[in-house]
Amino acid sequence: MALNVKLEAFEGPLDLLLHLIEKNQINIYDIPISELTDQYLSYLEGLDELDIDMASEFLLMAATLLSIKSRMLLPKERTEDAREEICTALDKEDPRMELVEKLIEYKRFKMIAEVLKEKEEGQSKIFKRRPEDLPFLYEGGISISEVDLDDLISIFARIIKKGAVEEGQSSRTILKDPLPLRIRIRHVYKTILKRKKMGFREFFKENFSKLEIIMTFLAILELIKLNRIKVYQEQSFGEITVTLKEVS
Amino acid sequence: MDREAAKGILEGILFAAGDSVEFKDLSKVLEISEEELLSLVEEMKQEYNSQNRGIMISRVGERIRLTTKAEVYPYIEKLLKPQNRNQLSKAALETLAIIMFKQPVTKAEIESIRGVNVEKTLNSLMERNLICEVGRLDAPGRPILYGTTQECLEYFGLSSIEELADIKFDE
Repeated sequence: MALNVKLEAFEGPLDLLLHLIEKNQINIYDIPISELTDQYLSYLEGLDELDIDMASEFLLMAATLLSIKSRMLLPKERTEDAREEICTALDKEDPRMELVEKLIEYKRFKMIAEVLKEKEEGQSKIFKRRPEDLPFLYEGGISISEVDLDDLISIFARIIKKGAVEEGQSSRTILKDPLPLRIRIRHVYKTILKRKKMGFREFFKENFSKLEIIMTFLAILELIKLNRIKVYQEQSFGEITVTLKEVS
Repeated sequence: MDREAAKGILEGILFAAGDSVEFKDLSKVLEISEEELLSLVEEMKQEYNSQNRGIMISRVGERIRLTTKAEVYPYIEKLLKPQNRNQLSKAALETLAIIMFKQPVTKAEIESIRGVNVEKTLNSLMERNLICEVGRLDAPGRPILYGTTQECLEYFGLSSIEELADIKFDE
């Protein structure tokens, strides 16, 4: 959109105003508000399309400018009493004042931002070392020196006793892993090596047990990690394709 | 402790640490006061300034770090071809400048100074760990207060934020 391109050149309405002020070499403390408002508005009009989200901040400033302009046009109050007149003059500050203060504050931060930019640039040219890996120097949670032989013996006895009790209650059999992942990976890799490219679903045969499905899936993940295969999906919920990566 | 020996130790520690190291940790380890430490650091800075050194030490906040000099960059670049680090946008820099000097500061205050919404900018600054939440303002809605991090000082290589306060601008 033309608008975005144009507005993004400015970091908001204050930035645009500062630009206009600098372009016209206006004294920031004595802004010809009418002229500036005209320029500001004509700038907004120059935009082909108004994206409300983007432009609302700019429009708010336009409204503020118009409000200041109209207040400037109001005749100054005149009273008979000179003393009172001075008081009201002090009371009623220049309607531009608030905007001027904002502009000056913003300008200050803008300049600091420029200095930061330079600093950032400078810092990108220096390097520090990656911290050394020194975990062995850190003090761990256990200090062996505080434990003596008797402690060790009694702790050992306690563990053995506890183990004996548990063993008495039930014996457990530890099964040998029926489907080692290592073998599954080799199997899956052989399949893909032969076919070069295949659908994700084709890896899973209908009669697969739950464990087989899980192991096959793990094998595919592992192969992705090993950078041997590539997996992609054209569209969401579409078929996932697995292809062999050429190993150079 | 002999000053020259202390300098050597300091150099070694900074090298091993890689990251910046806090003054108070260094002074504890070297068993010297922070004032003495700072004067050592000043001397070391001078020494590193000579042309036959490719590294330098600098102060960032309450920490000291050992880095390469910018003058070496063209050569490191040739050797390693470092990728350009993602630089901050103009919006991010302006927002950061405001947070630096107004912290702790709410989103609304930043927006009133910049005149634009800063939601996205704040999020990306948080992601880069340059700013953090430092508390809540005791006001309706309890808005989040933001402040800058140590990471921020290091990112710009600032010894302190006050360093920037002297910037003068011509009208």
